[in-house]
Amino acid sequence: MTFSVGELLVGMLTYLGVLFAVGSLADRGKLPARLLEHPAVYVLSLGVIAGGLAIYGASQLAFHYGYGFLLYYAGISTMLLLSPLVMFPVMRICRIYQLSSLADLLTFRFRSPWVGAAVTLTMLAAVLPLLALQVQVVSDGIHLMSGDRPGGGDAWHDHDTLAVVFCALVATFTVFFGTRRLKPEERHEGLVAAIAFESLVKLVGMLALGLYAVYQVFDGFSGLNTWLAHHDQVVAMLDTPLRRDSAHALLLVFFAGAVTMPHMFHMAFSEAPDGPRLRTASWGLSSYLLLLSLPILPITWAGLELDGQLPQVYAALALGLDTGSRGIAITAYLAGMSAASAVIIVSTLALANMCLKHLVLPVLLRGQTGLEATSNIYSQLNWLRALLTGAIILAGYLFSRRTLGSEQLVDLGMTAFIGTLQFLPGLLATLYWPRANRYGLAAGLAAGFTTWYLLLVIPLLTGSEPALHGLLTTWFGGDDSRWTAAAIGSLGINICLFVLATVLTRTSAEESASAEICSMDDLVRPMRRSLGLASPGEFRERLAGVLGANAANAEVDRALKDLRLPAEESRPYALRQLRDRIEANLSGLLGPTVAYDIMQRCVPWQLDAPQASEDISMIERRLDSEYRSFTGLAADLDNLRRYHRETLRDLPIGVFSLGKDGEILMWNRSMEETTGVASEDIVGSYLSSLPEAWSSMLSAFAESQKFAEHKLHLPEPSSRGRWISLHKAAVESSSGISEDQVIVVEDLTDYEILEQELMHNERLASIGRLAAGVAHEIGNPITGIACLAQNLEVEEDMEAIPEAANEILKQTNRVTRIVETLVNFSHAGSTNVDPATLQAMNLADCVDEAVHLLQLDRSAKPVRFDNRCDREQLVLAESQRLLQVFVNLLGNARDASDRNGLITVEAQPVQNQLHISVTDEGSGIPEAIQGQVFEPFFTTKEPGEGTGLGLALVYSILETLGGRITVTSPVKQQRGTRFLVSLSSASYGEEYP
Amino acid sequence: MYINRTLLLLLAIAVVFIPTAQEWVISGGTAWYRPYLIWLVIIALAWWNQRKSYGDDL
Repeated sequence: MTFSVGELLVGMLTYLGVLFAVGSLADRGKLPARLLEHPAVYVLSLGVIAGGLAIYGASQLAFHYGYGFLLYYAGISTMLLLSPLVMFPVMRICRIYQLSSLADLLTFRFRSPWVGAAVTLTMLAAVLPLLALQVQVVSDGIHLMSGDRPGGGDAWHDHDTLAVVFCALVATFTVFFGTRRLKPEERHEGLVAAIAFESLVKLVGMLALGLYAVYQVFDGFSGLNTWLAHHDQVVAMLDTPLRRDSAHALLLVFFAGAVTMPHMFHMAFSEAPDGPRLRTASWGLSSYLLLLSLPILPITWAGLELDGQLPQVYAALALGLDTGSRGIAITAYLAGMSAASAVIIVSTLALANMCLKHLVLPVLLRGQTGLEATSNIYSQLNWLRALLTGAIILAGYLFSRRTLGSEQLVDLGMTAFIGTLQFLPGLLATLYWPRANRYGLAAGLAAGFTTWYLLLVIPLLTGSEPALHGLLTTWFGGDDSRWTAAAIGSLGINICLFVLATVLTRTSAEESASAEICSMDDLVRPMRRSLGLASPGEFRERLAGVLGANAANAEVDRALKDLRLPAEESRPYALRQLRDRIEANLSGLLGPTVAYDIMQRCVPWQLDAPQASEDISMIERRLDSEYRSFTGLAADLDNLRRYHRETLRDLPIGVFSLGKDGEILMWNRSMEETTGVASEDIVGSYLSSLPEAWSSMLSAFAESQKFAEHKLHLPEPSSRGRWISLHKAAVESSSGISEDQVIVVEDLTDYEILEQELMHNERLASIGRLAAGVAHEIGNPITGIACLAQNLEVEEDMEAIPEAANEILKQTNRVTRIVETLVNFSHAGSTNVDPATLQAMNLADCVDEAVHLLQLDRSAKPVRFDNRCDREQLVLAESQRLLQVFVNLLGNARDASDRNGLITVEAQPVQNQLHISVTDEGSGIPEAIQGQVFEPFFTTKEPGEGTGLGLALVYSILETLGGRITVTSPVKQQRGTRFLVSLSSASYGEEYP
Repeated sequence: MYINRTLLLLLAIAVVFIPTAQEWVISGGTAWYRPYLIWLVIIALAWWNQRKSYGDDL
């Protein structure tokens, strides 16, 4: 049974047409989003790893190595099962830094464009055999289906035109669905859907072939068991490879291939919708591979039973062709074609991206030509990628023409897998060896690939014995172990030189920084570096020089949108994030090397800025996002961190911390309530971003040498303002150097208002006590005025009238003075003093006025006041408040004195101050309570006689006047109390303060 | 490094039981499906392990 070329062409076009339709429908959103986002689609798309080797080559492996063919599936499944060790960290880095290939990842880690170029070139060399394998699968399928047989002379090559058509169509598909979207965060929905569809076709096809083999060739499972029972050599062969050492080496080869193969890397990390899907894939892809491999043995045995003319590798195709079943033959043909096309499409796409980012763009941008000359960078990138795609598929086709035939199908696959195995040391070092450097990577890759080339590629192309064939045969035990020899030999040399070169050379600072990001062993410690930019607009201007204005605007807008930042953002913290985001986005577009170069050239970090400290908020965010993965002691530490953070955040007192560069690192809830500025709006900014009053007060305090400021008044337009106390302390970094500072902001407003109200009450109480005396004092002159007025009515002597009027005026002045004194006293206002109101005032006059006021209180016991102050002595004070001080001190002294006791006021100049003492001869103050007399509400008087605020008020006023007060008791003969007030002396005509 | 503890436990169990499982597979004779049974068990364990993990730890 054969098929004509026309039938095969129609079949191929129909299948690829369906593939185009699926891709196109998904791209246009015609397929349900629920379907496309279903984890099964992602798992099926990862089925791309099962290429022609899994569909056809597995039969040959099973034929020669029994259960050994399962190593292919087991290696891949093991990598998926162990994804927390390798795939999760790789995905984390790729997602954050928009890396889409292994070359991107290694370039990002080893910070060298040469690494990217070297990895790309070696990857191309390693994957070409795999592409050739896929082309050969399709090409051989066409030949076999059309009746050609191996060794059939010229006829075997007659139908290669169809293979060319196939390659051209696949290239078109790749360009159409894989290269159009440039933004790294966008998935190629059409591509993913098409690859998932291909995986489904493979699976259904293979299961159908397996069932056909069991039920049509062996008459069911019982028939298969009977057949096996009669073929002992087949059963014995099943165990063959497991008894050889090569099993472990091959398991490692396929284990590594699950990450290092470019098509797998692309589907697993670049097209992954989100992280948790990879977790689903850990068992989902294993299940898929199990189902895919289940029919291999029955198909292989069916091939043996049918004993046809076809090579064992094409046992699946032989099943239909030898039994005359056109449906089964077409199923096998489509299964092979779907596997091959999927690998070609995704591998080519991944390789084209790598070539573009690591070979083409660095050259174009380094030469300052090409891209920047025009405004549409995206269109040019599309064209370049399309050209590269076509070139790579052509190279794969040409390579397949150089190989020797279908018997080399497995060799091609194994060569490719062992080739990409050489990237495993670099990949593991990226994750787990921060000391590794680019020299080690380059040395290891060079040695590993040279060994691989000598042992596998040259024999593959020439059919000759590999180099050192005899030695390898002795070491690895036979000709069948050549893959083991190549794998262990090349990987061993690779690792040895990697380690050796790394140890002998220095790791650059750039590499160390990247290693910290990539390494799972170290907690990433992002640093706060200065950019010297003030707005996203400046990013646009600087990037326009390289990317063109349109692309620069588009990239800045995209990064702002990603970060949900406003266009007028100016916080340094946000601008740092913006820079990182733009670099990550450009990395996805142009590759990490080019992106790094562009950002270094256009938006460099400021090297002359103060030494940056750790970015605490970034570390906190990272810990918050990863807290579920902490276990044991790490979880306990994280809980402790959270507890302390919450404690700090909920403290009922304002706390914030400042970096060495003045950036606000922490802003607790109380600060939010006090200032009205939310934490998320201010963290990462400078103090200058705060409202003016707060900004100037806090900046001045942060820069001052003082560690505390008490009762600073903060004017607020809508109220009487706020009273704030500030304290600060230096925060030591982990290195023990004082870098940051933490500032405590105590809002005393409520306390201050309450204090003022109480003081006012105290004043009112004083006024009340004085009221009777005032009435009496005013009554006398009023009586005099009344008498004089009565006399004036009847006065006839014209000369006496002016005399009486003069006397009336004198009495009126007396009343006015009494009233003014009282009003002055009652209007003393708050205890706070504006420095501008301080002036030189006569001390003796002030004491006299206070004595006069106190003498108005008729109910008080009579005492003698002796004002011994020098009439020329001046103090710097505010008259009303100083009056209040003396009224309270002298009032207390009077209350403490016996009847007719003497109260003395003296003043002594000491340097630039006056020491004023108020001494009584009363009972004194016990030493035990002397420390409490200035506390509010402390009184020794009977209830109702004193408020306990008098001396507290004195203390408070003197504090604001810049003075001090102390108490001494007893003074003489175990009696008496002396209050010593210190105030700045002054003189008329001088400017204060 | 935050390695899933269940994964470590499964790896340890795997190391212990691999020789036994290998012998069991080889001694199967015509029971060629035995490797697949082991594979199924591993898949079930992997499913169970990922099911109890949650959150975005990637």
